[in-house]
Amino acid sequence: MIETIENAFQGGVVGVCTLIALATALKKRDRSWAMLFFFYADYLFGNLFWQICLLYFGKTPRITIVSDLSWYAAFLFLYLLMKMEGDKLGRRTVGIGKIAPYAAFLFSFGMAVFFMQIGGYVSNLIYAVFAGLMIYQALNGLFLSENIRQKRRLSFLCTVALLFMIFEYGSSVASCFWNSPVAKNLYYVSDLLMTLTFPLFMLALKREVES
Amino acid sequence: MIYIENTYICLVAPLLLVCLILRKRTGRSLLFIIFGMTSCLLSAYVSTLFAGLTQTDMAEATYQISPAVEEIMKFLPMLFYLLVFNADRKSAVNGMMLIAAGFATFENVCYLTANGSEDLVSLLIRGFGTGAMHIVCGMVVAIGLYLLWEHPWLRAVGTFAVICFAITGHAMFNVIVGRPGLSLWIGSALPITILIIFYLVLFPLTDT
Repeated sequence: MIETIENAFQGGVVGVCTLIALATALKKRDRSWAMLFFFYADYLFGNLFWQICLLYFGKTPRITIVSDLSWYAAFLFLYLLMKMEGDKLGRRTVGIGKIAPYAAFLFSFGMAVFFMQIGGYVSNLIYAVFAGLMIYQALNGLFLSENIRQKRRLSFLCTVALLFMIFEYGSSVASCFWNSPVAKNLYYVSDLLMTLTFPLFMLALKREVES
Repeated sequence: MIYIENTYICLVAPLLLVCLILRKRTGRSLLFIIFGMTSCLLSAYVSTLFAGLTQTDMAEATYQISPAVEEIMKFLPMLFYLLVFNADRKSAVNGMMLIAAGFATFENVCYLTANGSEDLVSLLIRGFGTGAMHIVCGMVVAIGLYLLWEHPWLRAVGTFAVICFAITGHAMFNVIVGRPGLSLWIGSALPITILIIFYLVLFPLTDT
């Protein structure tokens, strides 16, 4: 029951965000908002496909390629959004900022090794690439926005993206220990917090566009 | 058993011949339609191959394997066009839509050959529903190409992401229309509605 409520809540929040992002993208004819729309829509589609399969067949898909592709695409759109916003500054990272973002791949591949204990090898490796890419760009954006006036704007977007990934990983790790009640609660809390990060992207982008 | 290769030859032969006579732009448009039909034919082979490899039954393959294979195959002629002919943004967008239309046409013809042409209502649902779905998916990829045209890296990454988006939409459509009755009606009406909204909202924007 709680899972259904939680899924419905997430679907509702992402659905509303998708519509707002689409309306804003059409109104402002802004590419960044279009990217955000695709990010939301892809995430929503991935979840919807999962739920539709449950509704129609009473079971989750055996081959998860469709949902997986949708979620990977969502990550890619967020990556593109952060990259485009970062490029607008016309700056390059220097010193530690040049190397530190690569830690994202260390983290994502480390987590992939952990997930491989339970799941498949290929899917976890692909997930690590996409998640790593997104975390890398978020960290890069944080370093890019150091010591400049626009700091608050880009860093807000990148911080929200990092939070999103932390909660995404939190719920994934918790779901690995599904039989434990503590882990189950942790999963719901992480997923709920991740849902709450979705509207924050719009707030971040609003600042970006205003800049 | 239907021989889709034979159907393909019958459909494509006159189009191919007329391409030799037509002027550059019209001939190119027709070629995109032929490429769409060819993609549909090849998709059938590739989907069957992957269904066999993953030991998936027919029903599961229609919503798990076919959408991914079809959307990727639909994009391959466009990829070739972009890489070899150094195409401009507008012709790439138009080409993508024509490929989708060609794909949908050939798929409908195959459906007609396999299931007969007696039931007009189901053919109408099939024709408009599936046709609209393929065109909506093609349109999504075209919009992605249009939006992300400026930088090659942006175009490459963005196009992959947009194709993934189209695959999921396609897969959901296949699940919904796979069940007869109200589900089939709703599933078929969805892409048509999206197409109408596109026409009403997006077209006035592109004019301005």
